[in-house]
Amino acid sequence: MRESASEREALKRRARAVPIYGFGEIPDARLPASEDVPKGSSEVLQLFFRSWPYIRPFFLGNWWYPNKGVDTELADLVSDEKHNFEYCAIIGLLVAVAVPLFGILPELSPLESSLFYAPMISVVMSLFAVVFTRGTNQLISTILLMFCILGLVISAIFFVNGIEAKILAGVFVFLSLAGWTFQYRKGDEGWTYRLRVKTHLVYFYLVSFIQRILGTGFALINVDLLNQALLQGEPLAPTLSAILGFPELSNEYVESLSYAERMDLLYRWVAINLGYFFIMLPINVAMGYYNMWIMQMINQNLREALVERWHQLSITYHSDHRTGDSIFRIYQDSAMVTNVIRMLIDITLRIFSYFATVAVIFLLSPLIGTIAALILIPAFIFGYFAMPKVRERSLAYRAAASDVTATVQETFSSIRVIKAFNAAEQAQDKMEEDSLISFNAAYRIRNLIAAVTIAMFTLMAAVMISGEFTMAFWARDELSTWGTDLIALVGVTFVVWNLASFSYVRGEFRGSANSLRWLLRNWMTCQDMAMGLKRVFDILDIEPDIKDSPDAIPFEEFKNEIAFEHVNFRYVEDRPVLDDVSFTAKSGTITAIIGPTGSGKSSLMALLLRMFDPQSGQITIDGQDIRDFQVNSLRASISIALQENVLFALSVRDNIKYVAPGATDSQLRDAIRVAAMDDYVDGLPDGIDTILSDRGGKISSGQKQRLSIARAVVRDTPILVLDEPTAALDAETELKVLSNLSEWGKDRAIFLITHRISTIRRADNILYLDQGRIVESGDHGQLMALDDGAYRSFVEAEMTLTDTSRRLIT
Amino acid sequence: MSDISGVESSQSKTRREREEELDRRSSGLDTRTDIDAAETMRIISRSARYITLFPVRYITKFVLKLGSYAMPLALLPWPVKMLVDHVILAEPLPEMVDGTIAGYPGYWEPVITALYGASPMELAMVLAAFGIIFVLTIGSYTAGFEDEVEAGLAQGHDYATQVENKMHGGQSTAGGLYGWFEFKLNTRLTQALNHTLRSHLFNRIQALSITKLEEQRIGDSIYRVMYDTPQINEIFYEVTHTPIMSTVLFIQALVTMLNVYPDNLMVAYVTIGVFPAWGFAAALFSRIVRRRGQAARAAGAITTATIEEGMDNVLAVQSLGGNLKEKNRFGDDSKESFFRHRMVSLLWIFIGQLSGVFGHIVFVWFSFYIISQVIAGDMTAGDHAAIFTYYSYMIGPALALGWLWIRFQDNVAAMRRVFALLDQEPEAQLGSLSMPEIEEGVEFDAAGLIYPDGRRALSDISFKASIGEIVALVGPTGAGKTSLAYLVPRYHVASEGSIRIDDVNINKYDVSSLRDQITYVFQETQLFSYSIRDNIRFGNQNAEQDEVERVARIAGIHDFIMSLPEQYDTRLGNTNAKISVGQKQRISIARGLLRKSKILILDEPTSALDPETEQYLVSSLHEAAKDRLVIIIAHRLSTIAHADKIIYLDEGQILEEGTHDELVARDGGAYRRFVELQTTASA
Repeated sequence: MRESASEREALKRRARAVPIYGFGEIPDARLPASEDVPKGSSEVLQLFFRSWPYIRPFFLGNWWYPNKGVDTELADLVSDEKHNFEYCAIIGLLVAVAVPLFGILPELSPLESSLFYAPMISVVMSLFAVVFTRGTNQLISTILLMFCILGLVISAIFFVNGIEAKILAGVFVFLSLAGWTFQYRKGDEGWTYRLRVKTHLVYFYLVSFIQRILGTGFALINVDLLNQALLQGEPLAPTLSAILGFPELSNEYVESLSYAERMDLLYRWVAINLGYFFIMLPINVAMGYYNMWIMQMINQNLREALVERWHQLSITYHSDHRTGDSIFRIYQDSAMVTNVIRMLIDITLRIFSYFATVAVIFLLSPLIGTIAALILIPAFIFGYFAMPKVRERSLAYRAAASDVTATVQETFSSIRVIKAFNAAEQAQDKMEEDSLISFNAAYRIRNLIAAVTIAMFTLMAAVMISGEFTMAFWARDELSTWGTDLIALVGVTFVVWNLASFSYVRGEFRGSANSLRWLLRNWMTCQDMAMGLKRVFDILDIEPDIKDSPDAIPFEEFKNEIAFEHVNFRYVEDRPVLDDVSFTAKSGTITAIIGPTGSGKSSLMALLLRMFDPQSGQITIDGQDIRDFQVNSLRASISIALQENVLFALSVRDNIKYVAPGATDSQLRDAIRVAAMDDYVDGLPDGIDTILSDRGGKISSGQKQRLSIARAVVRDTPILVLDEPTAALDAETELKVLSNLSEWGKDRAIFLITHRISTIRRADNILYLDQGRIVESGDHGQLMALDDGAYRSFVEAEMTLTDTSRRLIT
Repeated sequence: MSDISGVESSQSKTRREREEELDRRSSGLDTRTDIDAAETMRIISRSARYITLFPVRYITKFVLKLGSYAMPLALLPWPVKMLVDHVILAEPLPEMVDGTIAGYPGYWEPVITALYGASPMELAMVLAAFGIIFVLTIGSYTAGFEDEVEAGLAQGHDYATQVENKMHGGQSTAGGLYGWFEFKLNTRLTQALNHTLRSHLFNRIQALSITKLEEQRIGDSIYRVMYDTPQINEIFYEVTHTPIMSTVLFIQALVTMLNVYPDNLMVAYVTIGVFPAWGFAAALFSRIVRRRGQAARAAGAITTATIEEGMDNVLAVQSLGGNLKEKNRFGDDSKESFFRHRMVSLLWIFIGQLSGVFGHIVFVWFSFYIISQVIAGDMTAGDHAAIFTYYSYMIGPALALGWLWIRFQDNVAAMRRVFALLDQEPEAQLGSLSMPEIEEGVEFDAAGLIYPDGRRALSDISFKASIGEIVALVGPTGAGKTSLAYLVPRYHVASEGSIRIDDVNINKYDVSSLRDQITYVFQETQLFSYSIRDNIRFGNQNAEQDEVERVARIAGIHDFIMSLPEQYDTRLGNTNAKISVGQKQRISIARGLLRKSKILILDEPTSALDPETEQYLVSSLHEAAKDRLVIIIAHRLSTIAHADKIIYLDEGQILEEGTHDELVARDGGAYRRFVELQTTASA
């Protein structure tokens, strides 16, 4: 549908609302208080590490036992008291001894030897340490082992020539992993073993590492084959020709390749290329999917933890909290957890590659190497000044975006009132204002990130230009390079400065600068992630005020009586809501609680449900303080039908079964009958399976009340609380519901909050509450007998009219 | 049907059926979710029309983007060439021959001529200065080492968690001042686009009638406003950028190549052939991409709705002991939503890989052709390198163009959801007359109401209510009292008969001018997270404090408010522990009273009030009714009995009408029976 002219105007106005270029306004009140902004990188890292519990399951996995299957418990970090993996240390020792003994490695010069054998011996030693220690010591030796392995792998890849050293490093890595995944035990029942499974993160990174190696290998073969053999007709290196299946075309046997041989190789080239891609296709697809699955599941765990905690927090917390903020925290803030691992790995690799390249440059020229190292200084300066701002702006934008979500949610959920008060324009203005602020806030953080990266690049490039031009002069004059012997170690053979060494160092120089630039850039992203995580942990850190005491017992049976003993309660200081309330309610009785609006009736019941705990006094059930029970089991034993009848967008059936999922059909029917709504339910389009809309809209409030009574009844609990459940019912229906209820509640304790005399009269005990105190209690007759009693005047006020009407009729 | 069989039956449904069920669960308004190719084209062109709102910024961005590609190409190669040739290799600067300098383009000649006679050191200094200037302006001083500007932040693995980067997306392939400028402009433009679209959608959803909004879940509306709208970006930019840029880049590479290899048209044929072939292959996936995208979004909307519902009703959840239930309900929905998004992503990974294989097959086949020519001696190894350089220049734009259609499908899925709500008829603007101040009253003339689903709510309602009266609507639960009251401010439009105010059919009036004079106080109170004062002033923002206090007194809430530490400034949250339901009800009555409208409708306002407050309120209403019409729906005799007129409804029809005394005097009358029931019950 096309827009009307006035709408077109509104569209144009909105299109101009976001400043074309400037920063736009954010009211100061929307900015985070400076004490709320975490300070320093250590806090950022702490926030990262705090997300470990949600990542851990995908790293540690679970144990699989023969006969028993996969354990549900999370696996140990390394191993427990009983299981062992000594075989790894022993094999490791054998390998370490055998290698020099049988001369498996090519001869190494003293420097290379110390670079290679030192980490190898340390790996074996720390393997023993890991195997024979437990607890904290084991953790320390594991970390040590990881560092030693890293050192071994680095020396094998960079400092030692020959494939043998690389294979050896691989054997040690494999051994350590094997010990971590396969552990045995020799106990009374003989030898048993267990396997670590579901360590998805390890699987994933292992496979992607192998993928990368394969990719590199493929690229090397491809380039050599294409450039040497196909394009120039030169024979192949012996290994390559063997791999390709044409050993006779090795440069050991032939000088150059004939037309036919080259065409044969061309077909082989085509086959390898196509084959590689077709093999990689399913692996790539599967790995992409796998990665996403892991990350989504990590996120799912955090989301569920958030929702769970929110529902544990007492109502006091929720009264200051906006629903839209929850949505934002569950979606945007918690999603940050999926990037923690990736970012930590990325940052570590970049730091490593930065220092490695700087070291290589330094070997060729200490001057240029120093320059490359000096770029760290501006990087630190930028970081020092920018990071606190990134954090601050990140919090501001997250809060602003939460606010828009909240405003949208609040508007839609109160749309009736907005229509009734013709306030659509007001609501629209509010939404647009919030939306603008969130755009401005997001712009501020993104603009800052862009500015810092540009500034960093500019500075870096200026430094590099001077470095490169210096090298250009050296190359012109063919000066000799520094550290020639060491350079040979790395496998590069530049003795003098020439075009080749110039290009090489320039490439390394750029690489180091790029690492640094990305380090800074990613570290800024990390600040923002940490702020998201902070907003998540801020919620998870709130201790629920109501929680199980350590030795809480499940609530099992209600036998005799509920007693309130000198209960005092207030929400805020100086405003007592309940003041020294004491009464008892026995099984099989109805207790009516009446009194003026705001006298504390609902609060009284909220205490029974442990929505709050009283400041003093206690509530007991059969003599046991309710704080000794597990909260969930207590609430499971008390049904409540509320004043505001909240239904959910589920079917009628699921609404009634909301907290009684096990209810049978006959129990459902009974509950519906008690609530006197069989006719109504049968009349719905899909009967009991009719799906209600949000908040149970579309159905009248009388029907909602009866549904919520059915929902309370179906739970079949020994205690029932009805908080003004019949206010919206007409007298006839009310009468029916109440007589059904009193029939149903014969051996239960029922609490009734109401204003209606007709309802109250049926109660065994009436508590008249005023300003939080029980002013009068007793049954209807007793209370009516009190001269000037509060209850009596309450009844009289209600009856005056009805009396007149009765007179009129009779 | 037992619980277990219920589960089985839901499993026996096909996947498609369950998907449709999910669609319906999230929105009853938007149920036709299939999109065909023609519809896709319409959605794309409709999204593209938003360009017309930002003509200057859009074109500027486009020009900047072109420049950011062209400038480095034009400027960067030459200083490096000079450095290598004339500094490192120390060759003399080339002479000008026939007005051109070999090896350099015309626009670079002034630089060279100016540098004749310079020493290598001076040359190096000048080149360094050039480098610094380039870095400052375009963020690069040599090809292969270019800065680019973006500010993407970490995101998650479903649509909802990826919108932030879309909404605020801006980038530049250049760096330096140029890149910064382009980035800022781009970011602001993207933001302006998203602000416009989401405000517009928000506005349209607000304007839907209550009947329609009851079909629409709040969570779904939030999802569409917040998470579906940002998908317009890609269409907005790419619909012009990709075809134009691709064509320009393609032609540029083609022309250059034809200059060097005038006879070798093979590259051109192959790359031109790739575009439609790949486009066609990718198009095979377009329906499934759209379908999966929508399914993932529907699941996301349900998840949002579950959070929204659970968190907004936390009081109910906790008192029912539903904590665990809510966590599981959310957990299931969130899992399903993640699963569906994973399916979408799997599809994209698959299409991406397939495209890689497709590109690779073309590459391998083309390589085979060229290499066999090299082997045969018809070409040299150098030719091979050159041809593949051009090939890589040309295949990129060709593939990008082939990708375009399939890439839009995901966006189309989201934009369909946006447009579906944008296109819902807003609340019927039946008339445009502005309503004058009401002088007489309301008259119902044989009015009837049938709901969209065919249920009849009201039939043949006729009565008259004048200013100065209190009219009570009475009847059993479900009799249609609220539906009847809804007809007056036109929350529902009468399906038959007419409702007239001062003898003019209300359908002739502009809705907003009609509602200006009618205040409706609902059964279920809804307060805002503002201060109490602002809540009361919701309908009349300019009211003075003493006015606010006056109505608060009438509603019997003033004393309570004054006892709060912050009094009228106390802020309310959405779930209020601080105040009881009865107090909320009084605040909402005060809010209704403060709005000086001619008609006041109170829908069971007194159910939660104690008798004393109620009596006070009722007598105040009589006071208030002097110059207005008060329509009140109630069950309580004490509230009803003093009304000037009582209308007794049952099953959507008026059974009796008159004053309390008249009706009670009627033997066997429905109202009399109603009164008897209440009095015996309380006797």
